[in-house]
Amino acid sequence: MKLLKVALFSGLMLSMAPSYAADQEEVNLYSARKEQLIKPLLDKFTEQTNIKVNLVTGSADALLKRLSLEGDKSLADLLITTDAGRLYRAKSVDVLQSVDSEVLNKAVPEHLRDPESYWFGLSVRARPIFYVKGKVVPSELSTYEALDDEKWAGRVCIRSSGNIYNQSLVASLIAANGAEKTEAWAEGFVKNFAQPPKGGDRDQIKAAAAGICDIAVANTYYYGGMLTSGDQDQIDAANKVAIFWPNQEDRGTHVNVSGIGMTKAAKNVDQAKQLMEFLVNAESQAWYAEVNSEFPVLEGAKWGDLMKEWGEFKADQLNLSVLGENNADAVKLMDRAGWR
Amino acid sequence: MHNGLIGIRSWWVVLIGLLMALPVLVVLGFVLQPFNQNWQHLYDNLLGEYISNSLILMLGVTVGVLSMGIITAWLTSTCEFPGRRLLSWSLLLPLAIPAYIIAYTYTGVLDFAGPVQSQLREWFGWRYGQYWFPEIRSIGGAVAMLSLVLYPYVYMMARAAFLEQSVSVLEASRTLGNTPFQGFMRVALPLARPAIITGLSLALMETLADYGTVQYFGVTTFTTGIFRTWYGLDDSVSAAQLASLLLSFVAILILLERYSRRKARFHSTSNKEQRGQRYTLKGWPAFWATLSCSLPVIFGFLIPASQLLYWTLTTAQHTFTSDFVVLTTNSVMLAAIAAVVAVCFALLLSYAKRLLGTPMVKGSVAVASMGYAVPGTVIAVGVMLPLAWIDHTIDQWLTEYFGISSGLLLSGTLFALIFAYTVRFLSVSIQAVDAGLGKIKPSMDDAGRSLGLSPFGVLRKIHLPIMKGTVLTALLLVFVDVLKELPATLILRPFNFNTLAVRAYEMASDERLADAGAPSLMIVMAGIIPVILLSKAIAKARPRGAAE
Amino acid sequence: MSVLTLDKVSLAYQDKQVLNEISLTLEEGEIACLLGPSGCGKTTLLRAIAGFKSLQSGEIKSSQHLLSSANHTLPTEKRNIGMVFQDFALFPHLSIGQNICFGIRHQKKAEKQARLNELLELVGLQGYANRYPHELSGGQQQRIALARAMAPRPRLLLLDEPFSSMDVELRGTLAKEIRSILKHENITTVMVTHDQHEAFSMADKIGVLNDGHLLQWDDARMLYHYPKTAFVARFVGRSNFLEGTITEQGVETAMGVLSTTAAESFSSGDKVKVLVRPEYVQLSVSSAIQAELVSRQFRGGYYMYTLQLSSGEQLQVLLSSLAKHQLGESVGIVLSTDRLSLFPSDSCATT
Repeated sequence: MKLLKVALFSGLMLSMAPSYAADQEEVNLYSARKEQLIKPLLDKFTEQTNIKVNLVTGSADALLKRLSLEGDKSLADLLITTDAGRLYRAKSVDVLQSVDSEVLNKAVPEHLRDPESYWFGLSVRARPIFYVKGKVVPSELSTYEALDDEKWAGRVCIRSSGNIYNQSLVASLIAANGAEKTEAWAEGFVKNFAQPPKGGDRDQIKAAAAGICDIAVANTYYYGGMLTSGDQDQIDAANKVAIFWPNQEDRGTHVNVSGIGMTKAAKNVDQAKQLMEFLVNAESQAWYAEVNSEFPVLEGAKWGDLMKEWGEFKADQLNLSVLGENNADAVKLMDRAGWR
Repeated sequence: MHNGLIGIRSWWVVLIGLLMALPVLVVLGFVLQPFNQNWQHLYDNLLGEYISNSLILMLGVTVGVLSMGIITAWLTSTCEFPGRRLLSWSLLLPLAIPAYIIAYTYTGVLDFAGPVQSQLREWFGWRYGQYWFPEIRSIGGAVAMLSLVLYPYVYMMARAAFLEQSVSVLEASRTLGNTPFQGFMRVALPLARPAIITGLSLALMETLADYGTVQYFGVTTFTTGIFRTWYGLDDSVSAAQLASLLLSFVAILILLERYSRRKARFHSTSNKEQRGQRYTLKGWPAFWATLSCSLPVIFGFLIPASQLLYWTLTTAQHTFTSDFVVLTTNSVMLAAIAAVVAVCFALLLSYAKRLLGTPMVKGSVAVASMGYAVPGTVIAVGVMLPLAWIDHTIDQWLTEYFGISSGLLLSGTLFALIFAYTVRFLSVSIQAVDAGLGKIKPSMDDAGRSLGLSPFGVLRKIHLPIMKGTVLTALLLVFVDVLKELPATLILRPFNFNTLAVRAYEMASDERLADAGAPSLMIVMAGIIPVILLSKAIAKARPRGAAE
Repeated sequence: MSVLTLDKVSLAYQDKQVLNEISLTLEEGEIACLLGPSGCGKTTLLRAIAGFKSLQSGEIKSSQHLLSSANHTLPTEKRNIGMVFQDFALFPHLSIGQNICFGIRHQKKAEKQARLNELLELVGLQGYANRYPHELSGGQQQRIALARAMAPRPRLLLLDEPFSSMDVELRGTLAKEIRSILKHENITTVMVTHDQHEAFSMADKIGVLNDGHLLQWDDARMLYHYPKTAFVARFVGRSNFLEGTITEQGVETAMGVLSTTAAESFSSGDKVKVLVRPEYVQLSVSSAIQAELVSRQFRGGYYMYTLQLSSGEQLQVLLSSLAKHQLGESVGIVLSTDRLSLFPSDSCATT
């Protein structure tokens, strides 16, 4: 009796799940990009192609786990993440497939995509240094590596090492300088923290503006988000700091990407490929810049006005796969250095 | 049981119990896998910190929820003071606020750049470093936040216990030379201990499972460690092993408490319960009583809700879009279904535990109940693993024999989601249902059976009517919990399916706190109605006063 | 010196008067019993003595110490009063030993142990100190509750319907046991009951309450034979009431003219009711007063007969079962006593 009820109930649940009838072309997307930062583009895609996009958002690791458990039966055709490390991980657990697309290859610079075309960057996210105007002169700053200097003691704000952007930054430092040097650097760097790491990137900029520290490390789009937030406190805080692009004399400022890959289980391969290509066209690329102050991967795509003000900068050309490779080492290194 | 029919049924119950315990068992099962080199790293650098921080957090929350919960419960159940009626239900309101959301709001209010400190600086001309102000984003802050939203569990359980206590027992203590306060400490409190412990264990399990608050406050605990190991080190095995370590933590606590009770019984030995008059407080005592019952409501509900309201108003034009209605409907529907399912299973299992009492049944129920202490994401993995296995097995079988591919029947459906909720919140509903069942004397079962009722008949005709109040309590608790639930929803939901909690999280994790205000406020609003109903249910459950 | 003095104690809930100017005194070592139908106020009175209720007017004193008055209520815990509750109210979370020692926690360990042993022996439950209340039978719990209340050697012990949850047989034995314990310890006691047999077997003094009034405060024998009101007469023991009219010679009834000193407080021509206890009536072959046997109930040593008088009034009488009379038989009867109680006719509308 009870079992019958359970069976009936599960049937009901199944019928409530969206139907995947073939009467309309569609593509299924797992996205670590937040809904509000992807949905408008997807809607535009549907408008233009009449292909419906079904979306599940979530944290990249959870989606990745779900994808790998669902295996070849997964309904997902595409996976979007907000960092290259997770795409690297997706490739290594064998849930992605290589996509051969002239459009993608042309639009996405080589260092921003997988060498074997398993994934492609969609937008670039830079992680520069912010300094409090009036307290720090830009000439005092140079590179990430120089941030372990004693002169910054008690003057640095940065979020926790649990955050992927910090993990990627350290992974890039390992790639540039080797693990040993990076660990020594991290120990010095942690000593310079003005407070135990807490909050998000915006909180670091706010803390700097409030006088807790003189420099902060944060992603540019959070800074952009503060300036355009409409909240006067945030705008005031953001206006107290300015961007410094580190490592311009050598490899360039550390960048990461939000990117996309096609799943191995993809059933709507053509539609999925169409969507991938759509996301790197000039219009979409300009949308990233416009809406979230992220840098387009497409050469020549329009930048937002705000970003034009920040100016051109030299970005690290390191292939982003390396960030994924070095991620675990980066985490352990930060653990040992006491970066919480 | 010598009846063959019951023998068969008991197997079904064990099966259902095991099914409910499955996700937790899956997590525990990872212990069997070899420990890899990451453990050395964890042990060398982090484990000590995880343990000490988790312990401090638990200790702090224990102190917080016990002091707030017990004092308010005692005052509202035995004293009369201005505002008592209003306060006795508003004290439950903080239950409607998710811990991570109260953390966001207080950060907004109390942070260095927030209105309070800015105002202080303006008034006194202070600058950073020149004055001391409690740091909200610290372990102490996390304790405060969690205590503020979790004390209602203790309040609720303790209050019900105080209201049910036989008045003559308390009077007996007074005739033996105890003041009302001494009587409270020596009789009322010890008698309410099982109820208080139940409330406390719910609060502590939720504390251990909390990720949002501690992560935002930069406090490294077991839970943040689990995610760091999984996400950062890409080592889901070690992460699950950490989770099972967390579970053994919980198991030890539960066993210790059971042992400390041993033979002593706590339900009143009398069958005639008499409601005494409340002590009417006047003057300063009344003032202090009103104040101490108002503070948890003010800090646990009014301030965060006002902050959310403020954020909602400032962002109203772009947050109240048409899909907001869909989000709300989804959240409420999901919570309602999950509540009904979880309580049905809780009834079934509690009842089986009582009727059969075999170690198998008891064991599986105990294991299933631990799901509450497991972070939602970990439970979600525990749910996904077996479901994916079932899906693949069925698919393979169908393909082999009928040439049909069934694809994913269960994974990625609402079924999976509701299964996860049921497992995760079974503990809450079982605790409530158990408390109700405890009030029903075994002789009533016997009487029912002797009058020709089947065991299920006894459940339906005798227990359910008596336990209406507790069943309602269980339903509402799960409802509110599901409404707030985030991590499992995030990972298990089907395509194009969002809830209020998901929306609030997406905004907040993008560091757009003000935009998270509207969905958060909606969660709170949707939670308030059941919370008020809940307080009505508790009030109804109290015994009627006897004449003379 | 009187251990307990109540002086015009009154108590009301909102507008309902529950106790009405109750006065009584109790000497050291006496066992008193408050008897009355449910709702008469006896439990309220007990709770007022315990200090759980505040007075509207009047005073409660103990050995000259003021316990309660209209504007003063000494807290229960400062009264040095022990109480045994109707449901025993043993603390289920404490063992028997811990229950008994609950009120003497400030004493030295050795003293406590000695007192515990003494009390357990007194109530005949040696070796039960480590058990828990739920492991004991009702009668055992009762005795533990008594031992717990006695442990601090209270000035006064209050028992609230202590035998109400026992079966009849157990009540009898327990009542006897407890009386002997109380007498042995010389403890002044007030007990509440609605069962007169319990009151008779336990109490030195009995107070009958009705509707918040203390109708009579006397020993059992006086209550039975000289009830002050028709209510007491009816409530205590079995009673017959004969219609009567006061004359110069005494009272004129269906059993003839009865001479009694009680008639002196009435004036000639007054209508009265005459209390006739069943055992006051005896058979007499020579009697002119004839009655018909209407029904009969065997009571072991006695038969309870119902007799119908010529007036139509019925009497219940208790007669030895050695002789058996046939129903319908007419017998001669006489009253064996002149100790008659008379009540104004309007005071007992029903019999």
